[in-house]
Amino acid sequence: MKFEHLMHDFPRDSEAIKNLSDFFLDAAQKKRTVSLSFDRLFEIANPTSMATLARIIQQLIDAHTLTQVYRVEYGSGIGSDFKSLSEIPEVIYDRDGLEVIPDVQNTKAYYLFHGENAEV
Amino acid sequence: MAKMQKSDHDLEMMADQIVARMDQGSIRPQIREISNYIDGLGFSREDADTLGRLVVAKTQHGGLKPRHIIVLLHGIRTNAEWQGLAVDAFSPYCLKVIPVKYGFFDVISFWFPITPFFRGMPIRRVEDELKSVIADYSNVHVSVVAHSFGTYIISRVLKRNFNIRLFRLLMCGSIIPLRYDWRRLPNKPRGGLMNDVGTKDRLPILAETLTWGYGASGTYGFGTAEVDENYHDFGHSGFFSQDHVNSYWVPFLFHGTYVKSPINVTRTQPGYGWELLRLLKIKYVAIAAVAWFVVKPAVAAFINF
Repeated sequence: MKFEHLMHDFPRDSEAIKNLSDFFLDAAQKKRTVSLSFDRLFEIANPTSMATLARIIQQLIDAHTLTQVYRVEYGSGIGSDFKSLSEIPEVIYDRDGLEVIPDVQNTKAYYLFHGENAEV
Repeated sequence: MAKMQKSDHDLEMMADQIVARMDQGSIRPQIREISNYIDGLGFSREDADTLGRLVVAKTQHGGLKPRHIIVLLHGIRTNAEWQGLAVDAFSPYCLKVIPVKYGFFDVISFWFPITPFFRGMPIRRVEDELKSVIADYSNVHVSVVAHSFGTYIISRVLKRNFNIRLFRLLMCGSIIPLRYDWRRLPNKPRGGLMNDVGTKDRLPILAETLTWGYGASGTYGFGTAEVDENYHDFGHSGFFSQDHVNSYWVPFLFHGTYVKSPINVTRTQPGYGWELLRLLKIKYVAIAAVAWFVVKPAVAAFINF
Protein backbone atom coordinates (compact mmCIF):
# COMPACT_ATOMS: atom_id res chain seq x y z
CA MET A 1 0.00 0.00 0.00
CA LYS A 2 1.47 3.31 -0.99
CA PHE A 3 -0.25 6.40 0.32
CA GLU A 4 2.66 8.80 -0.20
CA HIS A 5 1.59 9.55 -3.77
CA LEU A 6 -1.92 10.33 -2.49
CA MET A 7 -0.46 12.82 0.00
CA HIS A 8 1.29 14.45 -2.93
CA ASP A 9 -1.89 14.59 -5.05
CA PHE A 10 -4.13 15.74 -2.19
CA PRO A 11 -1.89 17.83 0.08
CA ARG A 12 -4.84 19.64 1.66
CA ASP A 13 -6.45 16.32 2.58
CA SER A 14 -3.32 14.78 4.06
CA GLU A 15 -5.12 14.14 7.35
CA ALA A 16 -7.90 12.26 5.54
CA ILE A 17 -5.32 10.12 3.74
CA LYS A 18 -3.50 9.44 7.00
CA ASN A 19 -6.80 8.32 8.56
CA LEU A 20 -7.45 5.94 5.64
CA SER A 21 -3.87 4.70 5.69
CA ASP A 22 -4.10 3.88 9.43
CA PHE A 23 -7.38 2.07 8.93
CA PHE A 24 -6.13 -0.06 6.02
CA LEU A 25 -2.83 -0.80 7.74
CA ASP A 26 -4.73 -2.18 10.71
CA ALA A 27 -6.92 -4.32 8.42
CA ALA A 28 -3.83 -5.57 6.56
CA GLN A 29 -2.06 -6.54 9.79
CA LYS A 30 -5.14 -8.49 10.85
CA LYS A 31 -5.37 -10.03 7.34
CA ARG A 32 -8.99 -8.93 7.15
CA THR A 33 -11.09 -8.30 4.07
CA VAL A 34 -13.38 -5.38 4.70
CA SER A 35 -16.33 -4.13 2.70
CA LEU A 36 -16.92 -0.40 3.07
CA SER A 37 -19.69 1.85 1.86
CA PHE A 38 -19.04 5.44 0.78
CA ASP A 39 -20.46 6.87 4.00
CA ARG A 40 -18.27 4.55 6.11
CA LEU A 41 -15.19 5.68 4.19
CA PHE A 42 -16.31 9.27 4.67
CA GLU A 43 -16.56 8.68 8.40
CA ILE A 44 -13.11 7.06 8.56
CA ALA A 45 -11.32 9.62 6.40
CA ASN A 46 -12.99 12.87 7.45
CA PRO A 47 -12.24 14.47 4.05
CA THR A 48 -12.78 18.11 3.12
CA SER A 49 -15.51 17.23 0.60
CA MET A 50 -17.43 14.31 -0.90
CA ALA A 51 -15.82 15.01 -4.27
CA THR A 52 -12.32 14.77 -2.83
CA LEU A 53 -13.11 11.43 -1.22
CA ALA A 54 -14.63 10.18 -4.50
CA ARG A 55 -11.38 11.10 -6.24
CA ILE A 56 -9.19 9.50 -3.56
CA ILE A 57 -11.25 6.31 -3.90
CA GLN A 58 -10.66 6.43 -7.66
CA GLN A 59 -6.91 6.49 -7.14
CA LEU A 60 -7.07 3.63 -4.63
CA ILE A 61 -9.07 1.58 -7.17
CA ASP A 62 -6.57 2.39 -9.94
CA ALA A 63 -3.73 1.33 -7.61
CA HIS A 64 -5.60 -1.96 -6.86
CA THR A 65 -5.77 -1.10 -3.15
CA LEU A 66 -9.59 -1.13 -3.31
CA THR A 67 -11.99 -3.04 -5.51
CA GLN A 68 -15.20 -1.30 -6.44
CA VAL A 69 -18.41 -3.28 -6.48
CA TYR A 70 -21.82 -2.02 -7.58
CA ARG A 71 -24.33 -4.49 -6.25
CA VAL A 72 -27.83 -4.56 -7.69
CA GLU A 73 -29.92 -5.98 -4.88
CA TYR A 74 -33.07 -8.02 -5.33
CA GLY A 75 -35.33 -10.07 -3.13
CA SER A 76 -34.13 -13.57 -4.01
CA GLY A 77 -30.42 -13.78 -3.22
CA ILE A 78 -27.81 -11.13 -2.47
CA GLY A 79 -27.91 -9.57 -5.92
CA SER A 80 -25.58 -9.17 -8.89
CA ASP A 81 -22.18 -7.47 -8.77
CA PHE A 82 -20.60 -5.15 -11.36
CA LYS A 83 -17.30 -3.29 -11.44
CA SER A 84 -18.57 0.00 -12.81
CA LEU A 85 -21.81 1.87 -13.49
CA SER A 86 -21.40 1.50 -17.24
CA GLU A 87 -21.26 -2.32 -16.92
CA ILE A 88 -24.69 -2.46 -15.31
CA PRO A 89 -27.27 -3.49 -17.91
CA GLU A 90 -30.66 -1.86 -18.33
CA VAL A 91 -32.43 -4.94 -17.01
CA ILE A 92 -31.22 -7.94 -15.00
CA TYR A 93 -33.05 -11.06 -13.85
CA ASP A 94 -33.09 -12.41 -10.34
CA ARG A 95 -32.81 -16.12 -9.43
CA ASP A 96 -36.50 -16.60 -10.03
CA GLY A 97 -36.22 -15.07 -13.48
CA LEU A 98 -38.02 -11.90 -12.50
CA GLU A 99 -37.04 -8.64 -14.17
CA VAL A 100 -35.12 -6.10 -12.03
CA ILE A 101 -34.41 -2.60 -13.28
CA PRO A 102 -31.23 -1.27 -11.60
CA ASP A 103 -31.83 2.18 -10.12
CA VAL A 104 -30.34 4.38 -7.41
CA GLN A 105 -32.46 2.67 -4.76
CA ASN A 106 -31.53 -0.96 -5.41
CA THR A 107 -27.92 -0.38 -6.52
CA LYS A 108 -25.34 0.06 -3.76
CA ALA A 109 -21.65 0.82 -4.03
CA TYR A 110 -19.11 -1.10 -1.92
CA TYR A 111 -15.36 -0.85 -1.75
CA LEU A 112 -13.48 -4.00 -0.84
CA PHE A 113 -10.10 -4.04 0.84
CA HIS A 114 -8.39 -7.44 0.79
CA GLY A 115 -6.23 -7.34 3.88
CA GLU A 116 -4.84 -10.84 3.34
CA ASN A 117 -3.27 -9.82 -0.01
CA ALA A 118 -2.06 -6.37 1.02
CA GLU A 119 1.62 -5.56 1.48
CA VAL A 120 2.18 -4.10 4.93
CA MET B 1 -5.53 14.74 -26.84
CA ALA B 2 -5.78 14.16 -23.08
CA LYS B 3 -8.98 15.49 -21.54
CA MET B 4 -8.49 18.12 -18.88
CA GLN B 5 -9.27 16.89 -15.38
CA LYS B 6 -12.31 18.50 -13.83
CA SER B 7 -11.89 20.21 -10.47
CA ASP B 8 -13.47 18.70 -7.37
CA HIS B 9 -15.81 21.70 -7.28
CA ASP B 10 -16.95 21.09 -10.88
CA LEU B 11 -17.61 17.43 -10.16
CA GLU B 12 -19.52 18.18 -6.98
CA MET B 13 -21.68 20.80 -8.72
CA MET B 14 -22.31 18.44 -11.63
CA ALA B 15 -23.33 15.65 -9.25
CA ASP B 16 -25.70 18.04 -7.44
CA GLN B 17 -27.25 19.03 -10.78
CA ILE B 18 -27.79 15.40 -11.81
CA VAL B 19 -29.38 14.58 -8.44
CA ALA B 20 -31.60 17.69 -8.71
CA ARG B 21 -32.66 16.67 -12.23
CA MET B 22 -33.54 13.22 -10.92
CA ASP B 23 -35.64 14.83 -8.19
CA GLN B 24 -37.42 16.95 -10.82
CA GLY B 25 -37.97 13.89 -13.03
CA SER B 26 -35.97 15.06 -16.05
CA ILE B 27 -33.46 12.23 -15.51
CA ARG B 28 -34.91 8.88 -14.45
CA PRO B 29 -33.13 7.37 -11.46
CA GLN B 30 -32.24 4.26 -13.46
CA ILE B 31 -28.55 3.40 -13.49
CA ARG B 32 -28.47 2.98 -17.28
CA GLU B 33 -29.93 6.45 -17.80
CA ILE B 34 -27.46 8.04 -15.34
CA SER B 35 -24.56 6.17 -16.90
CA ASN B 36 -25.55 7.25 -20.44
CA TYR B 37 -25.91 10.85 -19.28
CA ILE B 38 -22.43 10.83 -17.71
CA ASP B 39 -20.90 9.16 -20.79
CA GLY B 40 -22.47 11.90 -22.93
CA LEU B 41 -20.56 14.59 -21.00
CA GLY B 42 -17.30 13.48 -22.65
CA PHE B 43 -15.29 13.42 -19.43
CA SER B 44 -12.11 11.37 -19.00
CA ARG B 45 -12.59 7.83 -17.69
CA GLU B 46 -11.39 8.85 -14.19
CA ASP B 47 -13.70 11.87 -14.00
CA ALA B 48 -16.69 9.92 -15.34
CA ASP B 49 -16.14 7.13 -12.76
CA THR B 50 -15.68 9.69 -9.97
CA LEU B 51 -18.83 11.54 -11.01
CA GLY B 52 -20.83 8.29 -11.14
CA ARG B 53 -19.58 7.41 -7.66
CA LEU B 54 -20.56 10.84 -6.37
CA VAL B 55 -24.06 10.70 -7.86
CA VAL B 56 -24.75 7.29 -6.29
CA ALA B 57 -23.28 8.48 -2.95
CA LYS B 58 -25.34 11.66 -2.97
CA THR B 59 -28.59 9.84 -3.69
CA GLN B 60 -27.92 7.33 -0.91
CA HIS B 61 -26.02 9.41 1.65
CA GLY B 62 -27.09 12.93 0.71
CA GLY B 63 -26.65 14.25 4.21
CA LEU B 64 -22.88 13.65 4.41
CA LYS B 65 -21.13 16.84 5.42
CA PRO B 66 -17.42 17.32 5.93
CA ARG B 67 -16.32 18.19 9.47
CA HIS B 68 -15.71 21.73 8.40
CA ILE B 69 -16.86 24.79 10.34
CA ILE B 70 -16.97 28.25 8.80
CA VAL B 71 -16.60 31.26 11.10
CA LEU B 72 -17.80 34.62 9.74
CA LEU B 73 -16.27 37.89 10.95
CA HIS B 74 -17.86 41.22 10.11
CA GLY B 75 -16.43 44.73 9.83
CA ILE B 76 -17.07 48.03 11.62
CA ARG B 77 -20.25 50.11 11.70
CA THR B 78 -22.33 47.12 10.71
CA ASN B 79 -24.41 44.38 12.25
CA ALA B 80 -23.18 41.95 9.61
CA GLU B 81 -26.29 41.71 7.46
CA TRP B 82 -24.29 39.72 4.85
CA GLN B 83 -23.77 36.88 7.27
CA GLY B 84 -27.33 35.55 6.65
CA LEU B 85 -26.56 35.20 2.95
CA ALA B 86 -23.30 33.39 3.72
CA VAL B 87 -24.98 31.01 6.20
CA ASP B 88 -27.50 30.01 3.49
CA ALA B 89 -24.86 29.50 0.83
CA PHE B 90 -22.35 27.58 2.98
CA SER B 91 -24.62 25.38 5.12
CA PRO B 92 -25.11 22.59 2.52
CA TYR B 93 -21.35 21.99 2.37
CA CYS B 94 -20.22 22.06 5.98
CA LEU B 95 -21.04 20.99 9.49
CA LYS B 96 -21.80 24.47 10.79
CA VAL B 97 -21.56 28.17 9.95
CA ILE B 98 -20.92 30.45 12.94
CA PRO B 99 -21.51 34.17 12.45
CA VAL B 100 -19.44 35.75 15.21
CA LYS B 101 -20.53 39.20 16.37
CA TYR B 102 -18.51 41.47 18.60
CA GLY B 103 -21.01 44.29 18.77
CA PHE B 104 -21.24 47.56 16.87
CA PHE B 105 -17.66 48.81 16.49
CA ASP B 106 -17.59 52.56 15.98
CA VAL B 107 -15.21 54.73 13.96
CA ILE B 108 -13.46 56.20 17.01
CA SER B 109 -12.60 52.74 18.40
CA PHE B 110 -11.53 51.73 14.90
CA TRP B 111 -9.26 54.76 14.55
CA PHE B 112 -7.74 54.81 18.04
CA PRO B 113 -4.37 53.07 17.75
CA ILE B 114 -3.97 51.93 21.40
CA THR B 115 -4.81 48.31 20.74
CA PRO B 116 -5.48 46.89 24.25
CA PHE B 117 -8.17 49.49 25.05
CA PHE B 118 -10.08 49.74 21.81
CA ARG B 119 -9.21 47.07 19.27
CA GLY B 120 -8.40 44.50 21.96
CA MET B 121 -11.97 43.70 22.99
CA PRO B 122 -13.11 42.30 19.61
CA ILE B 123 -9.76 40.50 19.17
CA ARG B 124 -10.21 38.72 22.51
CA ARG B 125 -13.84 37.93 21.70
CA VAL B 126 -12.91 36.24 18.40
CA GLU B 127 -9.93 34.51 20.00
CA ASP B 128 -12.19 32.97 22.67
CA GLU B 129 -14.76 31.95 20.06
CA LEU B 130 -12.19 30.18 17.86
CA LYS B 131 -10.61 28.43 20.86
CA SER B 132 -13.97 27.14 22.03
CA VAL B 133 -14.92 25.91 18.52
CA ILE B 134 -11.63 24.01 18.26
CA ALA B 135 -12.09 22.55 21.76
CA ASP B 136 -15.75 21.62 21.28
CA TYR B 137 -15.41 19.80 17.95
CA SER B 138 -12.79 17.10 17.53
CA ASN B 139 -11.05 16.59 14.17
CA VAL B 140 -12.69 19.59 12.64
CA HIS B 141 -11.45 21.94 9.93
CA VAL B 142 -12.10 25.56 10.88
CA SER B 143 -12.11 28.22 8.14
CA VAL B 144 -12.77 31.94 8.46
CA VAL B 145 -14.44 34.44 6.14
CA ALA B 146 -13.54 37.95 7.24
CA HIS B 147 -14.58 41.37 5.99
CA SER B 148 -12.89 44.71 6.68
CA PHE B 149 -12.06 45.06 10.40
CA GLY B 150 -12.69 41.31 10.69
CA THR B 151 -9.58 40.76 8.55
CA TYR B 152 -7.52 42.86 10.99
CA ILE B 153 -8.92 40.87 13.91
CA ILE B 154 -8.06 37.49 12.41
CA SER B 155 -4.56 38.66 11.45
CA ARG B 156 -3.94 39.63 15.10
CA VAL B 157 -5.51 36.45 16.46
CA LEU B 158 -3.25 34.28 14.29
CA LYS B 159 -0.16 36.21 15.35
CA ARG B 160 -1.03 35.96 19.05
CA ASN B 161 -2.03 32.28 19.04
CA PHE B 162 0.16 29.88 17.11
CA ASN B 163 -2.01 27.01 18.39
CA ILE B 164 -4.99 28.33 16.40
CA ARG B 165 -4.52 26.93 12.93
CA LEU B 166 -7.21 27.58 10.36
CA PHE B 167 -7.95 25.43 7.35
CA ARG B 168 -8.81 28.25 4.92
CA LEU B 169 -9.00 32.01 5.23
CA LEU B 170 -11.02 34.16 2.86
CA MET B 171 -10.63 37.94 3.16
CA CYS B 172 -12.56 40.77 1.52
CA GLY B 173 -12.28 44.52 2.06
CA SER B 174 -9.04 43.67 3.88
CA ILE B 175 -7.29 46.29 6.00
CA ILE B 176 -4.35 44.06 6.95
CA PRO B 177 -0.99 45.77 6.29
CA LEU B 178 0.59 44.76 2.98
CA ARG B 179 3.78 43.78 4.81
CA TYR B 180 1.99 41.16 6.96
CA ASP B 181 4.31 38.18 6.78
CA TRP B 182 2.11 35.26 5.76
CA ARG B 183 5.14 33.23 4.71
CA ARG B 184 6.67 33.15 8.19
CA LEU B 185 3.42 32.73 10.08
CA PRO B 186 3.86 29.30 11.76
CA ASN B 187 0.10 28.70 11.82
CA LYS B 188 -0.59 29.87 8.26
CA PRO B 189 -3.93 28.38 7.09
CA ARG B 190 -3.00 25.03 5.58
CA GLY B 191 -5.84 24.85 3.01
CA GLY B 192 -5.07 28.19 1.38
CA LEU B 193 -5.65 31.94 1.62
CA MET B 194 -7.73 34.05 -0.71
CA ASN B 195 -8.00 37.84 -0.77
CA ASP B 196 -10.96 39.37 -2.63
CA VAL B 197 -9.75 42.82 -3.67
CA GLY B 198 -12.19 45.65 -4.49
CA THR B 199 -10.68 47.91 -7.16
CA LYS B 200 -13.16 50.66 -6.16
CA ASP B 201 -12.65 50.18 -2.44
CA ARG B 202 -11.04 53.29 -0.90
CA LEU B 203 -11.69 52.50 2.77
CA PRO B 204 -8.49 50.43 3.19
CA ILE B 205 -6.47 53.39 1.82
CA LEU B 206 -8.14 55.74 4.30
CA ALA B 207 -7.53 53.30 7.15
CA GLU B 208 -3.86 53.03 6.19
CA THR B 209 -3.29 56.76 5.87
CA LEU B 210 -5.37 57.95 8.86
CA THR B 211 -4.21 55.63 11.60
CA TRP B 212 -1.78 52.89 12.65
CA GLY B 213 -1.88 49.14 12.26
CA TYR B 214 -3.91 48.95 9.07
CA GLY B 215 -3.02 48.57 5.39
CA ALA B 216 -4.63 48.83 1.97
CA SER B 217 -4.49 45.11 1.07
CA GLY B 218 -8.21 45.25 0.22
CA THR B 219 -7.48 47.79 -2.53
CA TYR B 220 -4.08 46.68 -3.83
CA GLY B 221 -3.68 43.08 -2.69
CA PHE B 222 -0.76 41.64 -0.70
CA GLY B 223 1.37 40.81 -3.69
CA THR B 224 2.72 37.53 -2.33
CA ALA B 225 2.65 33.97 -3.59
CA GLU B 226 1.19 32.94 -0.23
CA VAL B 227 -2.20 34.51 -1.01
CA ASP B 228 -4.43 33.93 -4.04
CA GLU B 229 -5.73 37.32 -5.03
CA ASN B 230 -8.91 38.00 -6.96
CA TYR B 231 -9.76 41.50 -8.18
CA HIS B 232 -13.36 42.68 -8.59
CA ASP B 233 -14.92 46.00 -9.63
CA PHE B 234 -16.43 46.47 -6.18
CA GLY B 235 -16.41 49.01 -3.40
CA HIS B 236 -15.91 48.05 0.24
CA SER B 237 -19.03 45.90 0.62
CA GLY B 238 -19.77 44.88 -2.97
CA PHE B 239 -18.87 41.23 -2.41
CA PHE B 240 -22.07 40.25 -0.70
CA SER B 241 -24.27 38.94 -3.50
CA GLN B 242 -25.51 35.39 -3.95
CA ASP B 243 -23.87 35.24 -7.36
CA HIS B 244 -20.45 36.30 -6.05
CA VAL B 245 -20.60 33.99 -3.02
CA ASN B 246 -21.59 30.97 -5.13
CA SER B 247 -19.16 31.71 -7.96
CA TYR B 248 -16.02 32.49 -5.98
CA TRP B 249 -16.36 31.76 -2.26
CA VAL B 250 -18.03 28.32 -2.30
CA PRO B 251 -15.42 26.81 -4.71
CA PHE B 252 -12.57 28.18 -2.62
CA LEU B 253 -13.88 27.34 0.83
CA PHE B 254 -15.10 23.83 0.12
CA HIS B 255 -12.84 22.57 -2.66
CA GLY B 256 -9.80 24.85 -2.52
CA THR B 257 -10.61 25.92 -6.09
CA TYR B 258 -9.42 29.38 -7.07
CA VAL B 259 -11.90 30.67 -9.68
CA LYS B 260 -10.15 33.57 -11.41
CA SER B 261 -12.07 36.81 -11.76
CA PRO B 262 -12.04 38.38 -15.27
CA ILE B 263 -11.18 41.72 -13.61
CA ASN B 264 -7.71 40.32 -12.76
CA VAL B 265 -6.78 41.10 -16.37
CA THR B 266 -8.59 44.40 -16.92
CA ARG B 267 -8.20 46.02 -13.49
CA THR B 268 -7.11 49.63 -13.04
CA GLN B 269 -5.33 51.32 -10.12
CA PRO B 270 -6.96 54.01 -7.96
CA GLY B 271 -6.12 57.56 -9.14
CA TYR B 272 -2.91 59.44 -8.36
CA GLY B 273 -4.68 61.42 -5.63
CA TRP B 274 -5.11 58.21 -3.64
CA GLU B 275 -1.50 57.27 -4.27
CA LEU B 276 -0.45 60.68 -2.95
CA LEU B 277 -2.62 60.19 0.11
CA ARG B 278 -0.85 56.90 0.83
CA LEU B 279 2.52 58.52 0.33
CA LEU B 280 1.78 61.51 2.59
CA LYS B 281 0.26 59.46 5.38
CA ILE B 282 -2.18 61.92 6.89
CA LYS B 283 -1.48 60.57 10.37
CA TYR B 284 2.12 61.85 10.19
CA VAL B 285 1.03 65.20 8.73
CA ALA B 286 -1.46 65.51 11.63
CA ILE B 287 1.24 64.69 14.20
CA ALA B 288 3.59 67.23 12.62
CA ALA B 289 0.82 69.88 12.73
CA VAL B 290 0.00 69.14 16.39
CA ALA B 291 3.70 69.14 17.29
CA TRP B 292 4.14 72.47 15.51
CA PHE B 293 1.30 74.06 17.46
CA VAL B 294 2.81 72.77 20.70
CA VAL B 295 6.39 73.71 19.90
CA LYS B 296 5.65 77.03 18.14
CA PRO B 297 5.01 79.08 21.36
CA ALA B 298 8.18 77.66 22.92
CA VAL B 299 10.23 78.54 19.81
CA ALA B 300 8.70 82.05 19.77
CA ALA B 301 9.48 82.49 23.49
CA PHE B 302 13.05 81.33 22.91
CA ILE B 303 13.56 83.79 20.01
CA ASN B 304 12.11 86.69 22.05
CA PHE B 305 14.35 85.78 24.97
